[in-house]
Amino acid sequence: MSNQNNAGTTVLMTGNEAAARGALEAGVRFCTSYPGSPAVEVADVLFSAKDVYGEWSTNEIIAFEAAAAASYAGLRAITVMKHNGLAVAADFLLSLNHAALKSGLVVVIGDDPSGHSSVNELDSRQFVRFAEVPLLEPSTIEEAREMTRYAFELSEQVGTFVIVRLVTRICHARGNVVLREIPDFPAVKPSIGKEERFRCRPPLHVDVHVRQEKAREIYEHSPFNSYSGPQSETVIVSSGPSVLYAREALQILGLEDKVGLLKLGASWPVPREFVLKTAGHAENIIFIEDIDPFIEQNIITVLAQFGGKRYKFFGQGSGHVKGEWGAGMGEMNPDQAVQALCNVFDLPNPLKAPAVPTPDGVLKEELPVRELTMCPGCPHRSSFWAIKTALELDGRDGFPLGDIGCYAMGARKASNFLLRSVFCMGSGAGMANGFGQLQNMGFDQPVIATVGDSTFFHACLPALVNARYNNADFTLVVLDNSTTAMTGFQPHAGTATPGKDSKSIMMIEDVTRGMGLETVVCDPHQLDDTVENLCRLLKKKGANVLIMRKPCALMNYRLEQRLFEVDSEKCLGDDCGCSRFCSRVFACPAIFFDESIGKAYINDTLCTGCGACATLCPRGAIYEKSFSGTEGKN
Amino acid sequence: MKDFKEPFNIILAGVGGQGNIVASRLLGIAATMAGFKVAVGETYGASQRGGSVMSHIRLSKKNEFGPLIPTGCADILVCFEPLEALRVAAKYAHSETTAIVNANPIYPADMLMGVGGAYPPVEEMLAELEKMLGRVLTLDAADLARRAGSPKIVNMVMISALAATGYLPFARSFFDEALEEFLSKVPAESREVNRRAMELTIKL
Amino acid sequence: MKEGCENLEELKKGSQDLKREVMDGGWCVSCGVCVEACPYIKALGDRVAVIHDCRLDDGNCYKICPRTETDYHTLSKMVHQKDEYEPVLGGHRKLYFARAAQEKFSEPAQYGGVVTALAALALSENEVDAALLTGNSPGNRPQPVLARKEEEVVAAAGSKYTVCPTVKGLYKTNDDDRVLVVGRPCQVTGLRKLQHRTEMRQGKNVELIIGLFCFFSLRYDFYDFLQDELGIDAVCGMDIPKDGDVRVLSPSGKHEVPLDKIRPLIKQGCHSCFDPTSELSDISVGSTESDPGWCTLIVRTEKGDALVQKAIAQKVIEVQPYPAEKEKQLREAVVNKKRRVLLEQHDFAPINSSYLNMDEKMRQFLKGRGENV
Repeated sequence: MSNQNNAGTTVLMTGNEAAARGALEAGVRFCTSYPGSPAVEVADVLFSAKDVYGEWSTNEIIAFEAAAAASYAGLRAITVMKHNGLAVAADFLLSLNHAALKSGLVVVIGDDPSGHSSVNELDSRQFVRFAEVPLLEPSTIEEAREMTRYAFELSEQVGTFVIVRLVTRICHARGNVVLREIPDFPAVKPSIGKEERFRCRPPLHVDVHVRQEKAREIYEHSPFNSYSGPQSETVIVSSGPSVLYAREALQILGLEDKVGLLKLGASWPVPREFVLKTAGHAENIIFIEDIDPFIEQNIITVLAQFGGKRYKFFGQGSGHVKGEWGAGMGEMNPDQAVQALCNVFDLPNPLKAPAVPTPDGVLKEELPVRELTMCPGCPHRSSFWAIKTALELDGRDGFPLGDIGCYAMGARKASNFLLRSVFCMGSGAGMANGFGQLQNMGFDQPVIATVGDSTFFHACLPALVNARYNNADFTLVVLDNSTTAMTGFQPHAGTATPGKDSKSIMMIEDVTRGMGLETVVCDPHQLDDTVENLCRLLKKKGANVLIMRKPCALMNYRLEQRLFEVDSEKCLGDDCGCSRFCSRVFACPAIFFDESIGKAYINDTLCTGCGACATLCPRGAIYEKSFSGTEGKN
Repeated sequence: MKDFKEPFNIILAGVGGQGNIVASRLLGIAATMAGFKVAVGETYGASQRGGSVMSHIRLSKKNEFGPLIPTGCADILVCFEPLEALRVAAKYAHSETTAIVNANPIYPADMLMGVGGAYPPVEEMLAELEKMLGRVLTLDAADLARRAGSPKIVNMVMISALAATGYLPFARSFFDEALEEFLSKVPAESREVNRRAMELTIKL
Repeated sequence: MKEGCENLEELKKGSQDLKREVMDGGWCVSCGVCVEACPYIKALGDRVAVIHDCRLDDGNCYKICPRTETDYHTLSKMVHQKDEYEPVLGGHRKLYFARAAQEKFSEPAQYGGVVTALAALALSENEVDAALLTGNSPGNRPQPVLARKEEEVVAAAGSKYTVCPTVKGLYKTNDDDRVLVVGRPCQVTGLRKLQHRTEMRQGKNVELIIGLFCFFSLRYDFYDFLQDELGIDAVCGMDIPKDGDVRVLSPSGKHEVPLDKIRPLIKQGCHSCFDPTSELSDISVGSTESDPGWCTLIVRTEKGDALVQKAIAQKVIEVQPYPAEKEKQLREAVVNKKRRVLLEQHDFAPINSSYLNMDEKMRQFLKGRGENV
């Protein structure tokens, strides 16, 4: 939708789509990314645009490097990542900022306050300050489009890359955008001039500062910074979607005529003259923002240095303003904004949750929380059962390490906390290298490092080289569901990719065997075979690899809709002796124990037809149902 | 149509994987076609894996609002699952809120494992909702979905139900237009199933 | 300790008790009767483990394990349908020397080939639908085999020297299969305990049990030992004499191994075994020290007798009377084993006899070598 020209029409789009639209309206020609929630769809949209080269790079630093090259060659380029991806790309980002750029290079970072889809929350704005490059923070969906469009021009004016920082409540939220034209940009022949050099040298830090100062001058007049409301003694300073929450909070509390609102969108470098001009008059400054007191500390510094008087500051530092989890932690939302203003103005909070627990009602206790688990049909469920079985049969107190992806669910309650660690991409194999060297000191527990197929290519290769070179003792279990699932089924080097020859698929076993590591491929639904192979590998010295390969059930369900059903005559319920194995222990969310009939039951609105339960039922009481509803009992 | 409440807030609540995002997008597009300023707030990613999910939809004639609805400010709740209905009502509803609820439970993973306590009886949860809210409509959306041809389109049944009630602050024709546009991009077999779901629900 | 195992009905113990009392203590003999009875107990090679806590505190697995409370007298009553109990060799009606009379059975056998011959006969006469045996496999680690044809029985022929959780194969049979099982004494005991639990659905399709003589079995790392120490991959025969070196026969020739090297490879639970002659089977078969060509054949039940007489009549096996002198030697060997267990003489490894439920008179009789051995 965002790729069509349709200038002038008002559409509803997500912040991600809007950012992509903005890039298209600016004539972007090159887009690289590694999938990371919440910003994935920015790249998705750009990949489907004509005249734009798009690729799922193997990781974020390669993506960034490739985009920088395109920029040097004369093309406007964009790279997209989540906050963890920024950490991966950091090494390049912190050196690239030293060199002058030619064509606009924009970095879109999707932060995830409260970590809805992340293992941590990071305020990337701190990093941008660290990198000393310009930052833009959209507050609305339309700004996501407008700022991304503008960022290319800004990048060329200032001479370095620009960071557009989105958050989940922009990325995944929808709002109205009036589309602008996507111009026909003249075709540029990419080239590198004979005299061009690009490098990072320590003295170039001076240039970094020169560029920052240039950006600041531009920011002093930026339309993305604005003051609204009365010239009051109390002013709120805010950025990002918190601006809208603050505005709504003022409305709810009837304070619109009493409190001014300074919105910062071009927020780093700090447009200090603009801040002093618009908010310098105030006595009380309130800061409302997501996660870190970034704006807060910057503005406090500016006002303290240049304001010429004493102010009262109300924010995360003073304890008046809190994110979802406390001061400086978790996302901001309208409830927290209202509470913050109530704290500052000493007002009762008018927002009431309607459900006061009733002594006899269902609400007398906390409502049960839904534990996250793997989707119905997920092959990882079978893989985890195989790993658990193998480790018990091995009997030496072995343990599996985790990594990033859908299989990280294996570290949670609904998987009986099987995986012992979850950190960043590739950290499982990395840590296994350490455990794998402790044998001479008496460490005698076998170690499994689990990793997904996409994570394997992203981060594991150096870890495996290290394992081979230093002869570390562990088994890498690759949970290969043939996609990058968690972020929405993007392809990677090991899967079929639209538009690419299937011969280009890199089989993981070819890579690991090429490294000289013994590698076995198993089907996780074949429990006995998988367990036997894993037990055998665990006993061997050195590093080896077991690939548990089965495609993601959700992806498969799009191709063929199979369903499974319980034969209520063969199922013996609690008389079986299996102690409700399928629903309670294997715990596929599509299977539950129906107390009213005393048998297991499969919920057809959830079942994706993987058939794992049918292989595990000790009575053979689960069979495949043909989709039209006729029965095919075996 | 009575005076428009500014902003008008709708929440779709359910369990990850039930398709609330498709449903909220449809509603949002319909409202945009009807000339409203629309904001929709979602949670993607990990919450899909069996967690509780919500879509917040905000309609305004004047202002741009943030994508999140404050406590106690939801005017309509469309709930794909009874426990989620209670959860979302307990925080976001007010005494005039209208709720449309699918009565088919989805059991949380840890309850299935026997370590999460007991699932509250559906009738009790519905009774609690009746006490709390202005109006509660219950339906067996899974049954309707199956009759339409696929057990997986509970979401389409639910928003068709919403469109049929007339509680939306815009004409149903906008919803129909948005649905047609959505279906034009969907494989042919699914189109029929979704249309049948609409028809069956609206007949109710 | 309860008198008589009728009281087992009251016993409420589950998989965690089984794990703690039997497996963690090292008393498990990998018989396999608990394996695959439910999804929570699995075996790999000779290792049996509880994979996950089923949370049932009243579990079938505990009740059928041959190393939890076992009363041979009560089980014998069930098998023989009468109260007499022979405490040394177990209830029996005939004692023979026997050997397979047809080359197809004697050729692949290590000793007399009697087990193979009887199992094959039962199948071909359609007295059973399947025979659950311990068969050979690549790498020579034994695996359960469910044979439905004579050739499959023959392919599984030959003595095995290690444990193997063969009984797990029973849970893959159909309820309407009539099954013959060939097992070690612990496996026979486990199967009888399974049959004794009338409330359990499984095990009721076992028609006939042929029990082997067994004074001990080895762990699977015996095969690693053969590889590492002797450089051999396959064992065609093994002789474990009372004294002197063990003789191991491989395709490449004979090897002599001091008993001291074999002894540490014995499965620990075997030292606590009270039943070297499979007292609860329908037929028991063992090797004879003096002549490897002939087996000791104990006919115990009416069913067992019917099969043996048929085998004799059809010239599938030939028999000779069992000399009194040999019987005396056999009884002595058995009583010595039982006594060692009851006295818990830990010569080489720990022994635990607390699982044995028997009346005090019987216990004293066996401890004191018993009169009228």
